[in-house]
Amino acid sequence: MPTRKSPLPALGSLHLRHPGLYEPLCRAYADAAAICLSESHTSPVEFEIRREDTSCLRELAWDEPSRDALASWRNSHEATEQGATSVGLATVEAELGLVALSRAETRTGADFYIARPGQKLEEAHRLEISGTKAGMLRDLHSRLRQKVHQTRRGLSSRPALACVVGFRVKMVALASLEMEGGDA
Amino acid sequence: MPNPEHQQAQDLAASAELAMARGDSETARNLYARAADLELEGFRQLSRNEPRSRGILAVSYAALLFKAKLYDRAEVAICGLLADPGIPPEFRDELRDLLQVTWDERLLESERLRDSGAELTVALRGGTIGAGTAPAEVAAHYLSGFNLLFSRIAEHEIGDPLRRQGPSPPAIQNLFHARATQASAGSYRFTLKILEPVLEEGQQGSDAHRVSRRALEVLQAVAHNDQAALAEAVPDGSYRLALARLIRNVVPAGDALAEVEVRTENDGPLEAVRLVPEDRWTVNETIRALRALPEQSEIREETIAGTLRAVHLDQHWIRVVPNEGPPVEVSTTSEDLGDVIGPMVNRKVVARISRSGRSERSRPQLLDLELLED
Repeated sequence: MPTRKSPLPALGSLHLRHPGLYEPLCRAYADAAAICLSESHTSPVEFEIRREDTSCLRELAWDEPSRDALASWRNSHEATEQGATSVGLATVEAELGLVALSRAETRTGADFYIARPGQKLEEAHRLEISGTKAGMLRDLHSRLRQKVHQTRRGLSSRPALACVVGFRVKMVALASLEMEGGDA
Repeated sequence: MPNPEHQQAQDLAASAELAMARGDSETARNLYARAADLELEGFRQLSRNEPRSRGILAVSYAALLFKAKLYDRAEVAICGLLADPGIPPEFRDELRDLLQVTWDERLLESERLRDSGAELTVALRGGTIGAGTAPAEVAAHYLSGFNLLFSRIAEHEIGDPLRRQGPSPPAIQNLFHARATQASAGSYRFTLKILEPVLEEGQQGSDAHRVSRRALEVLQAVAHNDQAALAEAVPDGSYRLALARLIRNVVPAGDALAEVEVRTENDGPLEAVRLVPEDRWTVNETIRALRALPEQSEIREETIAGTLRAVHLDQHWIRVVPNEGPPVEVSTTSEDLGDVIGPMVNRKVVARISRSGRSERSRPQLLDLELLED
């Protein structure tokens, strides 16, 4: 039975501790997460956080999405990806004590560099997050394996973490390339 | 944060992302451009004793120029950064990738000055793809695959019922004019130019731009298993299943290809749909959801990996030669369409079949057939 731990931090105020998360973006991502969560659940719910062979339960609460938020996140795929960023950053803060230090601009979007509060960018880890609304656990694991493979292939010599958020299955899977020797 | 300039660049880039989400691409471009200028300032202030930070800001600077569509500046900047021996190797790889797509974008933009018609541009990247070159069989597979997919979408937009047999009608075949485009570093591109569809009297107007836009909507919905968006774009369930299977045929499967990018004439790099190997399972989820089978205790499912050697859809069977063992003939239904299965002949496939519990000797029923190579 997974251990029950303290709740995940409030998604709408992550920017207070994550210097790389601009406040308006933090709130927009929290709205996206609320939209994805509200499709299948009622606040609060318990999320299972899986890391390697361990897992724990953490409560996640959210505000009902406003009409404006629903209107601005009409693209379901974008809402899933950005909502996952919000839940993913809350998870790495709770589980690993790491915060977003900087965006990692990519061709099509942005990942994040994460580190302990007060650490420099020079010591940061790259975090890649993705989300899914699929209803099967095997999909989440498959996606995490793909994410780790992609991270390892693209960023071979850099410490990196991969995180996949399953909104419907209420689970976050977290894998570190360093911890796992490059495999999920 | 390494310095205040980097912090400001980050905030502007985040604002640009929000502007993009609102659909305000002009504001987003301006914000990305201002963010790039600040990122360059931040980069210049870093000491050479901070190689990782320099690498991170260098990639960020180049990516912001790319997102601002400042392709000439991006090209010069990336070449300059690659000439800097202090940029660590892993960041150099990211810069090379950005240089390749920058060249791609520049060429695409210059082409559009000569052509304002509706079109879909498909770019193949990674794996065995070179500078404007691709293995012939890979290029042929994707050119044919997208032609079949877009023909089906055009038929749907015109209001034709789902075609179960035979090629698309001449009016649709004449709709697309495919051609390979100029060579560009790291990708092989072709465009499918869409001409005005021929409409019967009394039919709703279905212009070429609507077909290209719908194609992108369907690709995005299937690739992300967004059933609601898919149902909105394609209300007919049989059409949805046919389109999902045609899309799976153009999602990279093997090592030959790392990415397929599709966009309409109006889309920039941020709006394009990208299909990567990890989308396979999502597309399979879409197909499974569309083809939900009733529970039957006497039916058991199996998979056969092998080569598709023969197809006779008029007589409702296909023949798969497994990697080991004798050939297996499998029954098909009217849901199994020629333009989905045809391109798989003589190629590696995996067949999901069901057998009735009563007899081992009766022909199994095909549930799904998936291509295993690009």
